[in-house]
Amino acid sequence: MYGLVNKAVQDLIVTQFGQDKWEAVKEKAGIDIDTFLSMKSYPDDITYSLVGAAAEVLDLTPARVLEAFGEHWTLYTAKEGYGELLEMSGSSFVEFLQNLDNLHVRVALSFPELEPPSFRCSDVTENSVRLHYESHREGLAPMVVGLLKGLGKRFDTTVDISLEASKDQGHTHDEFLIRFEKRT
Amino acid sequence: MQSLSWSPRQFAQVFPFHLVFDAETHVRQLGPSLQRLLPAISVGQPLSRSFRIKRPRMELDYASVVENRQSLFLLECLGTDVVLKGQMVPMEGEDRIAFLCSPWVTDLKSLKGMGISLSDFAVHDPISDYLFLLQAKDTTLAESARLQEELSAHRETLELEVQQRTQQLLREVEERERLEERYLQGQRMDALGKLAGGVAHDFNNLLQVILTSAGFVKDGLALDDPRREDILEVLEAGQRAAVLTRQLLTFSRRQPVKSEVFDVNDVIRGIHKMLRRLLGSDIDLSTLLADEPCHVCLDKNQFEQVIMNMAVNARDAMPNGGKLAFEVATSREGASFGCDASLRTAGGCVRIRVQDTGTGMSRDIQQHIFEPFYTTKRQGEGIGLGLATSYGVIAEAGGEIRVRSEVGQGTIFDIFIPRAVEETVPTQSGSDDARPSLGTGELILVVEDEPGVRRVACRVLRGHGYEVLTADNGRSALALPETQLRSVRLLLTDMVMPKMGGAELAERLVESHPGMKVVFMTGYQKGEARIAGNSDVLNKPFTVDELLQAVAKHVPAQAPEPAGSA
Repeated sequence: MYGLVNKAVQDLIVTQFGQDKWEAVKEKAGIDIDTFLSMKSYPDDITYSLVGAAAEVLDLTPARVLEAFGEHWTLYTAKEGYGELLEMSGSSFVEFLQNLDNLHVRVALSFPELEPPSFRCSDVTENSVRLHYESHREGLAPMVVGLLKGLGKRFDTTVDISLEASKDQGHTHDEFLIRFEKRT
Repeated sequence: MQSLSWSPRQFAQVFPFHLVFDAETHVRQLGPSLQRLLPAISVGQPLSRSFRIKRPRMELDYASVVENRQSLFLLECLGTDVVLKGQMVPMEGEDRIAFLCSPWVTDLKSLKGMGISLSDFAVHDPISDYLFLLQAKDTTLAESARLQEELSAHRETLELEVQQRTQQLLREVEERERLEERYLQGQRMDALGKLAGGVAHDFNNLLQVILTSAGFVKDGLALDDPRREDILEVLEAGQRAAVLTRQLLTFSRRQPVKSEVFDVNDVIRGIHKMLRRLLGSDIDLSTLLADEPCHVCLDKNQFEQVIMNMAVNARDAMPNGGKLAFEVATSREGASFGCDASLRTAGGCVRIRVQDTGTGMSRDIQQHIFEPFYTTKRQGEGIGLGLATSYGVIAEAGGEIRVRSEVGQGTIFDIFIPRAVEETVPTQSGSDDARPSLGTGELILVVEDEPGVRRVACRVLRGHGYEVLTADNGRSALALPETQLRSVRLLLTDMVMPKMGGAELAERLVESHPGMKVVFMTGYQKGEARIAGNSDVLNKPFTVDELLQAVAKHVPAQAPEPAGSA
């Protein structure tokens, strides 16, 4: 994964738990890198190690860490200079989800080694959408839940997410049913 | 190839920013995104009312546009910041031109300023990719700038740390070099001390024989004997030689000393007048004493001599006059003077600074000034023992002397002496005023390995009424019959002898004969034997009177028995 992802993990831990915890996570993960570079591709193992170590150091489940990370991701990328991109990618929660694949395709122009997941929407109604999530990476569904919660905050929309079908249960991909409502 | 046939809706979807104008250059059609971007433009109005061709440089007329249709056109929208970039495409079968364009944007922020978003562009439009790349570029630049700042901060920190460490290393190197230099100097002085001490010891034994024998000759001559003057010359020369050997022994720290606790301030104050006379009127003498007592423990007379030596050297270094300053200071922490660790730990030290404005010394000279017989003075003005003995005196007291000097810039001597933490009793008693008296047959055991010294000592003692037993070392003495040893009143023994020295001999004899007194003859080592109440030290070379005084002190003359008594 690109350094931007690892930087987001670092930012999440430092801002919410403190620098000491981040140092402890790094030590636990056996990572000896002072500064991650956003545009540099790092082995996936580094990210997985960081998440695993964070779960141990912070006494959380890995799923909870991933969810927190997903929620933090939208905030972090906006902060890290991708705000306009996010802003231009949709003016509402559902429009953003519909453009998410386009966004990833175009992001790949800048990150040539990017292997992004696929997000596809179906059954779009005024207050619900079915999101089909496919990734060659395993076990990141909790991160999608966090991501959707983060987007809900970004677009000032309450979201209710339920995992309707799971890759873990033998489906080809994960499928979320999201009910949403714009806050007035 | 089959031509594409698009409905207006499809055309608008593929080219959402298109604009169609006729041969009169009136607007005939607007794409939906362009309408959002430029709501003031409407179908039917002349194109020139709202636009000006920025590139290529040409008038906005139909024929020119057709002629330049292969060019990349930039149309400036009057009254706005919007510039449209695209291609002029004449429409087949119609006198119309379609301007297939999109707004010229350089970053995503400007897009927002125009009131449109990425979804206003056709999905296939490469401009979306271009905008993403711009975004990535901006983000990368921002990250680079941030990393540059972090790098600069790290570099500054690193440079500061390197600078601090370099200075620390330089100080450590300088300190090490200074210590090495002083260690080598100490080694050299120690070697010289051993050499000088050994020479002085042997020389003292010779002087002992010379002086005592010359004394016998003198005593045997009548007062008007013309040879008497010659023998007096011999005696005087011998005494001068004895002074030299004492100085050498002081330098080599083998001269017995009478240590006592005194206040350096008092000594400087006490000899100020003498110094004044010594220096003469051309030299401005100043003394700055410490505000508190500066007690030290060493031989006071020797210390006074050190101060006098310093003053004489300073005077000789200022032939045309100058300033000489004595400054006394004390530190309970020692370290503030930068003196050695040994001086820092013993409750601080006293510093006597002697500073002159004289000719100064080169570094080469400074390295030798404490060596005996090293002098820069002309022949007859000094023999080079002043600083050597000063060095020995201060070293004996556990202190040190440092010199700083530059040619033409004067000289500073710093004398460091450990502070005396408490009043201590002098280790040796002062002068003894006992008058020589004749013996009345008391038995003295003389133990001395040097035959000449042994012989003259025996002759003196026998000549003054004492009985004498002799031995040439400690073991020989112990081998004497007990009946004889039992009668010995006083043991007169050399300190350093083969087989068994004087210290061990005295200890064993006194243990077996508690009433026996001891006088050590030595010119060599301090501290070779514990000087107890029943013992004393006689420095070589000694005079006949000094020997008799030492003996008489411990073996008082017995009153002669009245004549005729039974």
